[in-house]
Amino acid sequence: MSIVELKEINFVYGKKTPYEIKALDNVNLCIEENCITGIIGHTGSGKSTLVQLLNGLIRADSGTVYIDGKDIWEKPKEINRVRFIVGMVMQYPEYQLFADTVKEDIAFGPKNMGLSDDEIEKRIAQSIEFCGLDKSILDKSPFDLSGGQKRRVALAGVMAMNPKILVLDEPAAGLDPKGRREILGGIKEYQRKSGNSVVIVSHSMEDMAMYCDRAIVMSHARVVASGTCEEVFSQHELLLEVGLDVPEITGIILALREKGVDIPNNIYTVDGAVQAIKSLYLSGRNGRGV
Amino acid sequence: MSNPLIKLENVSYKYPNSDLEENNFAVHDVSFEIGKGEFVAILGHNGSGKSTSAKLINMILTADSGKIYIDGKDITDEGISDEDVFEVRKKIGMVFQNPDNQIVATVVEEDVAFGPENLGLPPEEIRKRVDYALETVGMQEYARHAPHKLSGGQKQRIAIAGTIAMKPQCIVFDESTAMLDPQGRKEVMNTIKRLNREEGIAIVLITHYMNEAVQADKVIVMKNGSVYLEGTPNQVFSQPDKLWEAGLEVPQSIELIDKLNKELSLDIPLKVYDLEECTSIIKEKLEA
Repeated sequence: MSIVELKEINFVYGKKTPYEIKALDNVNLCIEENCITGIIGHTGSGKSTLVQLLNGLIRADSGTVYIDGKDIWEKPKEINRVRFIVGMVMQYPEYQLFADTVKEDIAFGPKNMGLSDDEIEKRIAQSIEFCGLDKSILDKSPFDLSGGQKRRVALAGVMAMNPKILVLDEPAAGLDPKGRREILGGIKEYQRKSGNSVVIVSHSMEDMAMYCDRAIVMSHARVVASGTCEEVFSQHELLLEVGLDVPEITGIILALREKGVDIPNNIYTVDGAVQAIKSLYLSGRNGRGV
Repeated sequence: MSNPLIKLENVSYKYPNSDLEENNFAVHDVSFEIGKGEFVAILGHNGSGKSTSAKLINMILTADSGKIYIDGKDITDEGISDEDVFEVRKKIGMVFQNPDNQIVATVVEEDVAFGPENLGLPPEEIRKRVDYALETVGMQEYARHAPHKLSGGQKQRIAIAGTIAMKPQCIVFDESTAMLDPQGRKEVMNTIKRLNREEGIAIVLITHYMNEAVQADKVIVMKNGSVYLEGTPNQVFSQPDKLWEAGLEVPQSIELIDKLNKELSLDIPLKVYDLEECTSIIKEKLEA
């Protein structure tokens, strides 16, 4: 079932000025519930505009955003409620930390939701676990932490609101490979355990292929592909055409196919490639009776 | 042989606000050299000391102990004059992660002219350098555009042009492609390689992308403030386990070959492969 549905969305920046730019052009799409959806696209393709529509930070010029079947702008004065349902983690969220201690910072969202102190404590404990942070960090000032830790605290603050939909814009940007794996792994674990939906915007094809269940590809203000990762990443020509790349490993598999190796074209992780090559190798040996 | 362009000898640095009780050096006993015209990639986990090293080279920070020589000149010497500092910054340009942090003007060519203007060059020379710099990064058509209307990759190339216009002998790129999409990263990487090959500018590329690092002449891997591995890309990336241990990874082609070797008891040498070599060797093994 889909949790988000966008119908005939149009959005223009700088309307009626010489700088008019169409950021979204008749966009229709669904985001499935209980999974991780990746949104990919070159710079300026409309990804960020799209995610800002989801929690009502901006309003489309025309078209409707449905969350859980409800038009989020049905009562514009109550748009604030949408922001408890759709949690947003912006790029470089560590710049948004403000409180004296990590604990207060994470508690800020849940407090504004009017939750009880007990519930807030519980949420804090849960969310720091997802983000791979130790309890000892709670009494520290967020400004004494390393960049990677700050990022996690900011993320924990949004997770603690337990939003039905968690939207993250480039959550791993600027982190080292281990940091990337940890933060994306934590997001995946959060999704699996909470059953909430997660939307990730990223430029890294490798990360998206590894951590997402589904993918949406944007180009020039339109959705040009959407489906499971397998369905999307197998459309390599389209991805290259819109200025994206396939994951490096997919490039290797495609080149092998061009060389006449009979290997499936829907491989986009290293482990998948290892398994496929292994089975070819072993069947080849059996075939020749080695 | 002439002096290396940059030489660090047992350099240590601790940020002033860091805990004194702990032994938390940002950079600890680091030594390495970067030759004239050399292309060196520096890898390392967050907090491994990569950026601190870059800032020490450019004299944004001053080492607590150890020696740093730029083109033979000891910049850690206490008697160093302001003019010497100025000379060092002229020789070593820097491009940061976010181009918005280093673009100052509202017109592209004025931004590129900012550096040479501050060098006090005559107007004709500035004009020449700006044209040359914009041409080098392939942005001459945008000379009169407003920087904030450009894409991330284009802006980053403007920032690079601003550095080139100072005619440095070396440019340090501190995660300059981190914020770009795949297309923008390719644009910037191609520019970097061209500067190195055609203009002979030494490159220090600090990056988290292993695929960028394999294109360098030499790779330095840092871990917890110290140099952990150093060598050609082939020497460094043939040790995937060590890189994993340092919180890094290897390009997917090497990861694939490493795992195939382990799973199928093969002995394909671990080195940097281009697409053609990588697929040929796998095909060969499948048909053997």
